[in-house]
Amino acid sequence: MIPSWNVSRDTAPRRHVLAAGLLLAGIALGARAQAADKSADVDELPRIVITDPNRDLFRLGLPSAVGDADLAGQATEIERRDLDLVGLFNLLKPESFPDALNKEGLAFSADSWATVGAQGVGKLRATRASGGIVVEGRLYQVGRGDAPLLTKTYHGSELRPLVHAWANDVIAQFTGTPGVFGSRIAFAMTGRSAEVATLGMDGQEMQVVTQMKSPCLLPAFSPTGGQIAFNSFLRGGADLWVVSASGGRAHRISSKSGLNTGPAWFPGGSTLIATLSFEGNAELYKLSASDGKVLARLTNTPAIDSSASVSPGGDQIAFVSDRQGTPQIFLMPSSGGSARRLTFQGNYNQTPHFSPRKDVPMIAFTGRDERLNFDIFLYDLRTGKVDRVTQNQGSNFDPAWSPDGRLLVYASNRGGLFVMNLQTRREFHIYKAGAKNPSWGPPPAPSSR
Amino acid sequence: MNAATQNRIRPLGRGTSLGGIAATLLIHVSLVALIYFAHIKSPPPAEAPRDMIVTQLVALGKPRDKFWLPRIVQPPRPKAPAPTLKVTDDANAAPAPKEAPRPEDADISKEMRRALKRAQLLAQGAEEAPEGSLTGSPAGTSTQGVSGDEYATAIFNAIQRNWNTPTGLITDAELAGLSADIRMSIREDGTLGTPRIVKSSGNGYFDDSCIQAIKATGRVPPPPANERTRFQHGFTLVFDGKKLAR
Repeated sequence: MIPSWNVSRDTAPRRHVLAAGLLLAGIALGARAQAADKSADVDELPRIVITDPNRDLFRLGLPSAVGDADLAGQATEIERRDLDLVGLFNLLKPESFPDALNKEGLAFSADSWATVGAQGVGKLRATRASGGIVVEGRLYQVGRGDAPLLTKTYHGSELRPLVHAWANDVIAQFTGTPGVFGSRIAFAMTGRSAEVATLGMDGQEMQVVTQMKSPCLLPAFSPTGGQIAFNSFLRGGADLWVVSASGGRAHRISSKSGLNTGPAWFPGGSTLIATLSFEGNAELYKLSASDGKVLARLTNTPAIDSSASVSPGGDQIAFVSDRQGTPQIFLMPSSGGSARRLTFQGNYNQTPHFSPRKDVPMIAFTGRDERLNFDIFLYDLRTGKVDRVTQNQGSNFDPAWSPDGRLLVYASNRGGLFVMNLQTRREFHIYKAGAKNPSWGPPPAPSSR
Repeated sequence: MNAATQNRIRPLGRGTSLGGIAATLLIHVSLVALIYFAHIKSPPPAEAPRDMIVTQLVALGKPRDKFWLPRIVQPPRPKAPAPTLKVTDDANAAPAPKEAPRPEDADISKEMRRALKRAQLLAQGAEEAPEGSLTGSPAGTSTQGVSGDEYATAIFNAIQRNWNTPTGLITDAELAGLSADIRMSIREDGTLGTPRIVKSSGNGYFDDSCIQAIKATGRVPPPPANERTRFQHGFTLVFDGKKLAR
């Protein structure tokens, strides 16, 4: 048979050719895909690292409250003072707010508030209703939409506690820990009267709680806030007294010969620690809070041991001793025993006070610097480092912690009492009349919504 | 010619297999495709991604007097031998002529006076005027930046200036451990595109502060021509809460 050109009819070679073609095309496409994969592997964007952020306070706008005019005015004043005093915020000046923002009521326009530089906005409405007062609060954050982050309504008979409760909730919203507005600070008055008084932590509602008509010193709030232990010279000697925190007749619990001074409460409130010298030398003793009965002697040295503060767990005591020559801060177990010296800088360190926070064990104390100025210092029990809190602001004494461990209150020769936020180091002058030896009471009961 | 021969030499197109032509064409096309895709169109080897390096130029300072610069100490010139002291036994001999006072070295004393004055001012608490380039940083780490990184430095300077973290809401210790990645772009004129958080720090206030820093900056210098596409395509800003300066 003669071979024919017409091979098209023979399909076998055509299949081979097609297969070869497809194979070649497949290789080509595969090579391209592989190259594309490699390209995808390296398709990462360039990065620029920004470090060294600046530090600033959160800018909070607090427009005037709305509602019943008289209540709204007071509510605005209380709210602004609270949220200024806590030292966490930079309150924007209300006069910088355009009319539109002042007329918003409880509503919120993030874009408008952004134009005045606000990062957050708090709004209040205070009205009278059914024999009481109703306070409604809204908290907004610029950049997180127009819906409120926090909406609260409070009912009560008095305006101030309701606004304090709102301020505490605002602080909780921002920091995770509620504020302690509503707590009170006890102190010894100086000047014409030298009684023990208490004061709201916002510096308002001062109340004299003793009528000793003799110098009173070193008041100490009990852990529950119901009582205040203090010293008085009413009967000539330095005796230990206890009075109800709401005022009334004080009763003497220790009047042994010599000193009966410097009371500090153990957690639970049934026992106290105080400096007594009835055995000849000033030592620290554990006493019953009800009758002053000596339960234990905690120190036994020829030096003067005084000014004790009990740790929040009740297991340690910080105190002042001059056993190594000059007054310094020492630490010992609450059952007594060997003491460890904490301070080595300066030759006059006194009035230690334990932070209430167990997770951040710190002791605040008064130290005298080389220029003979007294200032507030912090001792970090974890690191042993000392941090100076006040400087070039007169002389400052007797630090006491707020119950949340966020603030310190202290007396100053600038007059009265100051509060400082330890994180931002913002200071607020809460009380301008003569005062010393402040002691901060427990936090208020949680607010009811 | 016999029939078989005629059959072999008949012209193409008549009785020729179309399948053969198609197969030939397919092979050629495939070969061309192979060469095209595998060699001609294969992407060039990709450049490894390189992070921008922010270069904080050191403040070199304004030129100083030569007096303060290191100098090669020249050996002192040999002095002329001092006149030998002649001792005479003659009690009536004339006294030796008094030596004239040496002229003060005008240059040295002037510079010394200036140095003393400066030291005196510093001792009194006066602060020296800041020296160096206006765009330099006191925390500078380098005297020159790599080309291309200078733009990253410009971006750093523009945005870092507007980056404020709330002191009261983030402690120093917390801040040092926070970092957020923000994806964004830069238009041809330097306008910043819309930022988008691609990796949160876990702290809302920190994340907000990063976004606010970008929005407050709004615009940076236009990207250099050779980087324009790159920055228009997008890049990552890593906000790191660490304090590195000083």
